[in-house]
Amino acid sequence: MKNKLTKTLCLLLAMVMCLGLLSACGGGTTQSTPAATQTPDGTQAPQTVEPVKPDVKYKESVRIAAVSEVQNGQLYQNTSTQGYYIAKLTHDPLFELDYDKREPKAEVAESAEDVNKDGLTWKVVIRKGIKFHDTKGNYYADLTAKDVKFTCEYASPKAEVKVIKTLTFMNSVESIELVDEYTLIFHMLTATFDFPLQATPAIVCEKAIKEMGTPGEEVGSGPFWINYDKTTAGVVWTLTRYDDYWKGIDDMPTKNLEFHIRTDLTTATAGMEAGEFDVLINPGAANVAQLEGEGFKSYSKQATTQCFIEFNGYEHGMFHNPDDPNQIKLRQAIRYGIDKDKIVAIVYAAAPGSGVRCDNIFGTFVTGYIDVGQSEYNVEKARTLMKELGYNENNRLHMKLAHYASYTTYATVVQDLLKEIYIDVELNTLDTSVFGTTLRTGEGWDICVNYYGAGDVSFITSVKKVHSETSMCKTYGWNSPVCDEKVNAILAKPTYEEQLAAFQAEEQWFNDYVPFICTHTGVVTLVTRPEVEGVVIMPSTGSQDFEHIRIPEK
Amino acid sequence: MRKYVLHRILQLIPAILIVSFVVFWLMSLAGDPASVKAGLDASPEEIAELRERMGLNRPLIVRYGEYMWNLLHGDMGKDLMGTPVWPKYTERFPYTLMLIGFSLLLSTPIALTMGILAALHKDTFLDNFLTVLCLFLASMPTFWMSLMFQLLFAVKLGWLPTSGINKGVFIGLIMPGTISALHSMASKLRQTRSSMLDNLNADYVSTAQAKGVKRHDIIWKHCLRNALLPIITVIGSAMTLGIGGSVVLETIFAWPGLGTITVPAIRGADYMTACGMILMMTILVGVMNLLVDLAYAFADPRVKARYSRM
Repeated sequence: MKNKLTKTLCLLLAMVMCLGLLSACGGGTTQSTPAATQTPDGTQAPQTVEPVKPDVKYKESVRIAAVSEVQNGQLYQNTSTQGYYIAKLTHDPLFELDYDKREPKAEVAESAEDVNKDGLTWKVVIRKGIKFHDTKGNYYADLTAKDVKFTCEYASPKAEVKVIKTLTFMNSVESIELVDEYTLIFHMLTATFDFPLQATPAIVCEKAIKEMGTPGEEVGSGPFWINYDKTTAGVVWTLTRYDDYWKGIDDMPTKNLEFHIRTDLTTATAGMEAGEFDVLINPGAANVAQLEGEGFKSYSKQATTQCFIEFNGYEHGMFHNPDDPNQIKLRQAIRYGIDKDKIVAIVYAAAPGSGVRCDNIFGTFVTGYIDVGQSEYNVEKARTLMKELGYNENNRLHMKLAHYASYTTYATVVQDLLKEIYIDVELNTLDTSVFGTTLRTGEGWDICVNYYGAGDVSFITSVKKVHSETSMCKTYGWNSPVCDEKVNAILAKPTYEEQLAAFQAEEQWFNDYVPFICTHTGVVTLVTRPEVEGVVIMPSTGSQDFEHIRIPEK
Repeated sequence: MRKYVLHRILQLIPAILIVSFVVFWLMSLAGDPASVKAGLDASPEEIAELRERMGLNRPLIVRYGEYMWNLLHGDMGKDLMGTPVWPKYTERFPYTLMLIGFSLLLSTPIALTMGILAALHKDTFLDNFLTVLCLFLASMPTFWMSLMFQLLFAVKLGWLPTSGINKGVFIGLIMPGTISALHSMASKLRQTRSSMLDNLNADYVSTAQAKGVKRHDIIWKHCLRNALLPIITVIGSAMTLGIGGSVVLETIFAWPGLGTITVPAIRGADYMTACGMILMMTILVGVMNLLVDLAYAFADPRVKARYSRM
């Protein structure tokens, strides 16, 4: 009896302990993450970076927690997003995009001239004195026009042996002509008036690739080189400053960028709190709020990635005939039924303000972006259209919605919204490895929720994405002669200004017609220790500019 | 005995063949590597071309045969980006082995000792406390314990790093190894207690006591030796579970073991890496089972005699 009583008491004690420990896990205040500062036309307020103080000593290394694995430092043969973006720190592009001003910045290219003012012939002059370095930080070769030509042809979608990350702008290039050691001419297939906005390839070394094969991609001309002596695969990747960098290193006091791979966000956040890291890339809204509460600094910028709803346009798909009046009506009904504010509120409930609705499929960074106004959320209008199509409370439409597991909240909100307009949605959760394959079969989905990169600054690149010949449209089976005609008409205009005006005139139509209902976009956030200086935040999660980042010694 | 060991090693071959074929076949169903490699923005034509270049259009049996042929020549193939798989395995395997080894060395002596104490003090406060402790350790999810340890020992106290091996391999091993040890300790402790109780109540113990054998010798020389067989079984299964179950710990603590490379390979349809890693894990499990069987022979001379007759 006594033993039984003792056992019972011990079990009760254990239960109380467990409940107490579990309740201690909760709690804690959350603060909202400030939304990115936006100007009325949707661009971000330009960033200014404080100059390096000459009398201050800076730490040798900055420790950055990166949340995805790195396979290698190759530029065009990299499936790992983090690996690709680390590789970009070791290479220089021909031109770089200034997202705030929506302009190109000349980098490896010194200048680009539209020779005949018809967009068909571009003369590009390469800067002299740019050097390639190897993975020991030693001089490897001079960067010349031959390397630019080689890079473009090497990574072209038309190359015989394709790389993983191809340069889509090369689809518009007929040929590249070498004029001299530092000059080349791009002959275009179609008039490309904003060539510098599209020609942003990071340049690789021809000699290195011919000698070493694809590992030669790691030879770059960028401000850093991959220091394999201080790198452990799966643990930490170290980039070391190239002291003979062509831009000079006066404003680059940091010698080493250490990318510590922490695939678990909570671990990365704990590491920041424990003082193990100086910078955290996109730790998630709740973690940002927690760290801000502890005195860390955060920088936010609206992301280039848009989340959207897409319709199955394959032959046996529900939306196979995009110009059919009934299908147009159904798409419009769904548009009216989508409450974007509700999607944002629920998806970003953990940290309000870290996501914003979007209403223009072309993205806020594109030249010619106009405010097309907020898409109307109107359940009554949606129901009216559905009734015209023969659907009502007793005769409901059934649909399958394909989505990634990480987009379950988003998909569930869409499911609830469509329920109000006589559409019953069955969720089809797919793993990353089969998502693309499933979409391309056209089976198992009628609509899907997904994301895409809306980071083009060139409106020409952006508008081409809604042409049925592009791979993005092919993935969803989108094929509309009406839409293609409009895109072709814009691109056929004889001058840049006319093309831009034609694009802006049709921007509203594209948003109403094409089967991409963009709903929201997130915010890229960097969290740093308060003493970190030189932070420049880019709108693409992994493509951060750490060139000038530094930490003063205490 | 040597014949028995050789026999067991040869038994691994059909196991490897079966596992490799099943994994290869399942991976071919679980996603399209060409689609993953090309990315979502690639056109169907580009993906088809890539599939052709990667040889994925060939029949499964042809691809499997080629894979096994290369494996016999020591080539585990290349991943989606052309990086050889074998160096990836050799880089990561020692870390997984360290984690399992640390967990084993920490948990086994403690579990044995506490199990014996629990058996000797059956139905006392100590026994009940250890029972509750086992329940707690077995029930608490590994990821939860990991986060609590990080918060306490790394963030609050600053004694250990939250993750990674930047401050040293051993320092980085302490937390994940301890959590793994705590988790596996529960079953070992309970099994030790149960086995010891069976033996403490056996007739030969009464005989030994009657003969005047010291209590210390009865417990440690006689009872424990007889109780070892099921305990060794539990230790063996904990080790094999540790190989697959280390994924959570390796992810949370950024421990560069096999788990952190196998799961992304499966999800990314990188079938060469996934096949290679699972195959090596299979061999590892086979070797561990063999070691467990040899441990039986060490613990029980009757088993050794039986092996010798084989």
